[in-house]
This record gives sequence, structure tokens and C-alpha cells, in this order.
Amino acid sequence: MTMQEERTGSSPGAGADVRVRVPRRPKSWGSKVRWTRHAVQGALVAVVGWQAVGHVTSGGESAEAWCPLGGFEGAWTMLTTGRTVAHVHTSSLVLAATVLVLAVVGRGFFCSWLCPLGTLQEMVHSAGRAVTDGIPPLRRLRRRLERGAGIERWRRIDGVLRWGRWLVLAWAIIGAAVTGTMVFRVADPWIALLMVAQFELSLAFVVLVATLVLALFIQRPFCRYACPLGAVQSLAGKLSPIAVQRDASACLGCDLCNQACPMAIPVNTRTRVTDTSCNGCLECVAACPSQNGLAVTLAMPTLRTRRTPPATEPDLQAATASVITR
Amino acid sequence: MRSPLRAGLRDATTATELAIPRGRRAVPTQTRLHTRRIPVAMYVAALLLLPTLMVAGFMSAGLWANAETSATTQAGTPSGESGAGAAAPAAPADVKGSMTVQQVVDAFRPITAAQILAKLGAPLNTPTSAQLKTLVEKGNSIDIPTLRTWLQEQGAK
Repeated sequence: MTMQEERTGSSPGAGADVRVRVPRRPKSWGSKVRWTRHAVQGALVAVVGWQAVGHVTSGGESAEAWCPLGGFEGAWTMLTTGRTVAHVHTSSLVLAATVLVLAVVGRGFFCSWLCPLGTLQEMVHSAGRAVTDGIPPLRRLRRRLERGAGIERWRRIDGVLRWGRWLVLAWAIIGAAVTGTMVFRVADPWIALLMVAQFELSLAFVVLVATLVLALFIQRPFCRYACPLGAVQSLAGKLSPIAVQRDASACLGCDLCNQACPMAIPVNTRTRVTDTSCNGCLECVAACPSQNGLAVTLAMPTLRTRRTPPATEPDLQAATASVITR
Repeated sequence: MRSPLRAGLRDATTATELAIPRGRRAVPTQTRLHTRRIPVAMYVAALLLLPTLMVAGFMSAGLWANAETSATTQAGTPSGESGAGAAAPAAPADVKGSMTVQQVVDAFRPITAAQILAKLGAPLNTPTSAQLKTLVEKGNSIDIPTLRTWLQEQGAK
């Protein structure tokens, strides 16, 4: 039994007096999920940072060799000529294959749990929150931009900008296939970050700075609007049988999941969160106070044999609640 | 002003149940899929283990190669010649910063390591396993294109 319906007042049949009770999730549960994610992110940033510093100081292995996007860019050249393009090593191809499989299983899990650039944007955004929370106009601006839905015009702009990921992906992949070079490298903020010790003013550096400035106000701006690797994973993620699922009968409609989502997905209007922009961070699940409101679920290969019409709210309550008349 | 629901969520820290206020229900939806819940801990552990095992598998199969262990050649360089750093150059134009002094010496004999080190402004006791780009950065003498031109000139003599 997951919920209880309690009728109060003098008229039991009146819907106005119906209150539904659902089990509460332990309060520390969400924090454990968040801290686990931050620990994994921190470990990955440390490993990549160590690689980058080692490369600069002692000419060791380049951290570019750990970039899965290079694998996607060099895949066509590799398949057609048997060679990799400049700056791409087979380690990048291995990582590209790994990320692809990971996306098919866990959608954007790589983006939110493993990608160091995403971690950096999150860190900057947290710092931005700490600063803007003390300045009311900036705080209001940040909240509006975060939620997206608050301003209709911004929502439309946000929707248009999100197509940028696909354009960048096409540019990176087709450009690399046609020219045999990593064309996206000139604007890749990740490369600029790795080369920050050997500073030179380049388009990549400008993109990096713009990303970090935007990250003060918007969560993961590069992931939302420009990341070609995220776009690849969005495509592969469409095949994933695993997704966050909302149980409408246990959903409080409290909006906490929507506010927690860094990609501004309206989680409480979804049954299964299969949006291409979902990066699998589980922040919505961690934020949900209801035990059964949001969960990670695996879709089984069989469909229901009998198609049921969309349920109304009273139907859902009647089907799942045990009624206690007081 | 805090909503009653939000206030209730914050204040009722010890409650084991939550009351859904009337009119606050989110859009009720249904899925036609048969789904099964996965414990979050298991989901995270599996998805962390998956890439680890895949990379380890590729490494053990010898398919993992980076700048120091090049399993394939890069476009623009001759195939079938691999070693430390990038593949050995066939012509001065193929010389790259990731190549070592020894690779250049081997490819363009009778040029000696001492000549290359002198050209790069590096001490003569520098190991020949050093990469050209490292010496270029330290030496502030010439860059890789200049070195290519010099090698071309040496070959023409």
C-alpha cells in the first residue's frame, strides 16, 4: 500500500474534503544521491586535472586523449582510411564507444556524473547562486532563467537555442569527415580549459569564458545549447529502456522536481522523463519528497496488452488508495 | 509568502507521510510500458562499472592508445610505422611536435641528435627521447615549421 485516502467533514462524497497521504522519503536520502554524484564528479575532475597538469609540466599524455568527442569526430576518417585525425588517438575512439553504450543504457549519465566540463559549469553556477542570492535583482533574474517557464519569451528563446547542439554536432562530425581535421577544436571550450596554462586568445577561449559567465545565471549553458557530445547521447538515449518515471498517484505536484532539474524539464508533467535534454543527474529523484513519486525504472520489452484510457485524478485515487472513513 | 505545501515539506521533518493538498496534484499520466523499479544505488553502481569495464576491456585487448602509445597512425603520416610518440616521419613536412629527437635522427640520417638539439637551443646532454615540442617550448629558439625547413635544407645538401 503506497498511499492512504482520508475523507473528512460531513459530506463523504464531496471531493473538496479528500486528502491523500503518501509515504515520505527519508530526508537524508536526496542528500546521499547528490553527494555521491558530486564525489564521482570530483574524482573525475581530479584525474583529468592531474593529466592536464602532467601534460603541461612534463609533456606527459595529453588530456585530449581522454576526450570522447574526438572519437566521434575521427570515426569517419578511421573507418574509411584506417587512420585517426590529428589530436585524436584510439583512446578517444574507445571512449566514444563507451559513451555511446553508456547513453544507450543510461541516457545522459555521462554528462551529469562524469563530464568534467559539466562539473565545472555546476561549480560556477553554485558560486553564482551564492553571490546572486545576496543581490535581489540578480537573484530574480537567475530564478527566471533557471525555470525557463517563468517568462514566455525566454522560454521560446531557450527552445530555439537548444537546437544549437544539433548544429554544432553536424558541424563537428561533417566538418571532421570532410576536412580530416577536428574543425570543432577551434571553438571547443574543453580544449581551451586544458590549454589554459599555455594561454592564447582564441575562439575556444572566448567560448569558455562565455560559458562560465552564462553558468553564473543558467545551469549548464554549454550542455543546453552547444554540446555536440550531449547531442550524440540524446540520440543514443532514445534507445534506452531506463528512465526516471513519475507515479502520478504518489506525486504531490509540489514542483520541487521541476526546480531541481538543471535542464529545466517540467518533470511533473511527464510519466517517463525521456526528453533529449535529460542528463540523468537524478536531481529530480533526489528532490522528490514522496517515497514513490519519482523512481528510476526499467521498461520491460513487452507492452500492455489492454490499452487503458487516460485516467482521471479520482480514478487514480480510487484505484490505488485504501479508503479510510473517519 | 511560503505555500502551505512547501511549508509542510520543510517543517514536518519527522513525519513519515505527506498529505497531498487538494488541487495541487500534478498532471496525471500513464505509460503503456511494463516497468520495473531499479534501486538508485544499483543503477549508479552499474553505470559506473560499465564504462570502467569497457575501457579495461579495450585496454587489455590492446586497443587503447594515446599520445605515448600510438596504435594507429594519424592521417597525413605514413601507415605501418608506429613507435613512441607519433609515427616516424618520411619527409621533413611530416615532422610533428610529438615526435622525439631520436625519431627524427633515425628518419633523416646523417643528421645527428647534437645538431638537432643545437638547432632547438637545447643542452647537448638532453635525452634523445625528449619530444620536439617540449624542447621548442623550453628553448625559445625555433618552432616546428622552422625545424622542418631546416631539415629540408639539410636533406638537399
